[in-house]
Amino acid sequence: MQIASFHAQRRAIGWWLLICAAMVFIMVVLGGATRLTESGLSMVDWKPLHILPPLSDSEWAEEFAAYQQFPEFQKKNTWMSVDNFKEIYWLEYIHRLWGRTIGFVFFAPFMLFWLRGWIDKPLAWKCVGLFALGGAQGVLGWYMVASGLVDNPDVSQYRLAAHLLTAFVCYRLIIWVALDQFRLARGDDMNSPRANLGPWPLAVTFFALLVVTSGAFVAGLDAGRGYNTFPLMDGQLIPEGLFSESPWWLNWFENHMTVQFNHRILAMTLATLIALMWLKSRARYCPTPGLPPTP
Amino acid sequence: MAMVFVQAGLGILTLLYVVPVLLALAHQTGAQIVFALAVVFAHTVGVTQPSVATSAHELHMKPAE
Repeated sequence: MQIASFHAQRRAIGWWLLICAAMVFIMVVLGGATRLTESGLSMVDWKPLHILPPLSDSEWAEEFAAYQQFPEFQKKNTWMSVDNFKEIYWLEYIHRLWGRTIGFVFFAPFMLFWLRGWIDKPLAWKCVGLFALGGAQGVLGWYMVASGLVDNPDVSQYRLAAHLLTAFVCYRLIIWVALDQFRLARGDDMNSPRANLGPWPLAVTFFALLVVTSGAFVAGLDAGRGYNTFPLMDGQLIPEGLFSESPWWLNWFENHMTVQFNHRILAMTLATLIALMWLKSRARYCPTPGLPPTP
Repeated sequence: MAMVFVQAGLGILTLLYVVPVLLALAHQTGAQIVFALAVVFAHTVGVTQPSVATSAHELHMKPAE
């Protein structure tokens, strides 16, 4: 068998990581769908090594009986039959199953590449870190669900935001490490990017994480179901009552109006930042014909 | 840049129609796409972090033909 060249190895690793990133992308879509269809509290225990769904009628009855012990059924879904229960069960089930699948698609090729000596130590540590983060995401997901199984059948918006933020961080890091591999494959010098816009592009990605997190708070509180006008909120550009709760900083996380207002402001700021960066990069790298490019 | 407008538009529509599942999901998916584009952009034109600066020569590997 022909031994793959260094560049081919980098490309293979890069594609593998991009596939994992695409799987994380699908995972986040599934997670959002689970939230929006209120399916997330249908599985009331966490058995990471138990893979099969209920198959027989008796197994379904058992699973449904377990669900009936918890507040979402007792306070909200008392009307549900086992067939209705099956409808909210499958999305949460697929969300969890897909998580395990990502773990496998990450782990098995990693071992293969590693045993072949394609992965050097720094990259191996990054992969171990990513794997650990993925595992932690599973634990965090269950920790979030657990918050919806007591008293109030709603998960904590703090835990939901943490779960989404970790997903985006994971997604970001996998894409980044994959791009590193492609850059190595091209033989580019890692220290000199193709063009240099300074720290702004990186800063924008961090700011985007902030906007995403603020969006998670909107979702976690169902805060998008009120103030359904734009750009005005409650008839005003800056609504009254943004700081009606005390202490004042609690409004950022608990007050529906403030949480939605923050998401609007942060998102508009991000859009402006991206527009400015876009204009700057165009001015610098796509200069008007006839003019010499600015350094 | 176009994707940013799409994303903002999806967000506003989600709000105006009081969070229908599909629009809300599209808004979240839009966020994932914008974010990925921003990350790729940062990797391509931003300054690289020193920790990522491993050149082919520094890797203890034998490039084989």
